[in-house]
Amino acid sequence: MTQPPPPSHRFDTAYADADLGEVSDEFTVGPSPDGHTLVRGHCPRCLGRTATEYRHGVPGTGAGAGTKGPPASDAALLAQERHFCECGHPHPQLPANAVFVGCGASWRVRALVTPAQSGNPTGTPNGTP
Amino acid sequence: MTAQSDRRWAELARELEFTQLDELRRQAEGWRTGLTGLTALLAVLVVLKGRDDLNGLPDTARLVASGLVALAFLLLVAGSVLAVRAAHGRLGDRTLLAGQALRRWTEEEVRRVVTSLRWASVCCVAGVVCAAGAIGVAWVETESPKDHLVRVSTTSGERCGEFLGSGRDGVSLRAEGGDAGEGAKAKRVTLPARTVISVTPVGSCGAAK
Repeated sequence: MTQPPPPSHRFDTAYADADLGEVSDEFTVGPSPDGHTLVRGHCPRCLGRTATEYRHGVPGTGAGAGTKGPPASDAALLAQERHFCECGHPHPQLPANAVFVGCGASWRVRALVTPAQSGNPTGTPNGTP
Repeated sequence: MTAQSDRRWAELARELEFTQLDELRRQAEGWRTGLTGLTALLAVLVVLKGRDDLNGLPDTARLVASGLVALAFLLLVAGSVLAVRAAHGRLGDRTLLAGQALRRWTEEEVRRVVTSLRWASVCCVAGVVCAAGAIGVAWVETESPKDHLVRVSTTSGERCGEFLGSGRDGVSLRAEGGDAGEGAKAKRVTLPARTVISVTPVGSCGAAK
């Protein structure tokens, strides 16, 4: 199967707190090499390859109390999240204290697919670094 | 939710990844303190000793007092556990550290903490009321111990009772039983002086009469 050509990372895109709304780009969710959950894809703004790892932890004064029914899967939870560009490139005007290193864009996804569903079982997105 | 708000939640979730150990240590310290405090509740049982010993109560009063003590203990334990859970959370559970998941968890946690605190206060107040009630029943229903008890040995046996005085006629006691038999109301008894061998102060009369 022919893979689409990798998008070109726009390194010169200036950092901006840009809300891109819901995007239809494909993002995959799967396990990271160290056992956490990894969401990968390409930033719709700078087109750089972005990957965000999500972990489980104790938020503060406990966790999970009061939730009703079986816990939702990580993929279902992450489909409701706002995702941020973490292409790792220090775009121009990147704030010194920025938590997410990238172009500053954020978006929601229509759905997350597994690497197998995306036709890329390795989970490695095509594209430029 | 605005994009700016979502960003703040996401940043907070990201920061939490780096404070997990400190957070768990704080939680452990809180629970340790709370569990240590629970052991102090044993004092509720220890208080009812000596003069307030429940064994010295009539049957009905003993049942009521015992029930109140047990209920007070359970309520105070429940109240303490609820307060500790409200202050330091529930141990063991983890959640996905992502912005919206953290926001939903926080909303749930706020509701849960408020509910826990409300029930904790109800349990603690009710527990104290029950404990006070048990102590009150014990004090009201326990008879004062008799003072000046003596055991008098005579040529015909022993008598025990409250010492009233002595003179030429002999030794006077207020003793139970006597000619009317065991369980009769205490009455004044005078033991002739010529029959008295010894008079010994005692703390209680026990089985000897």
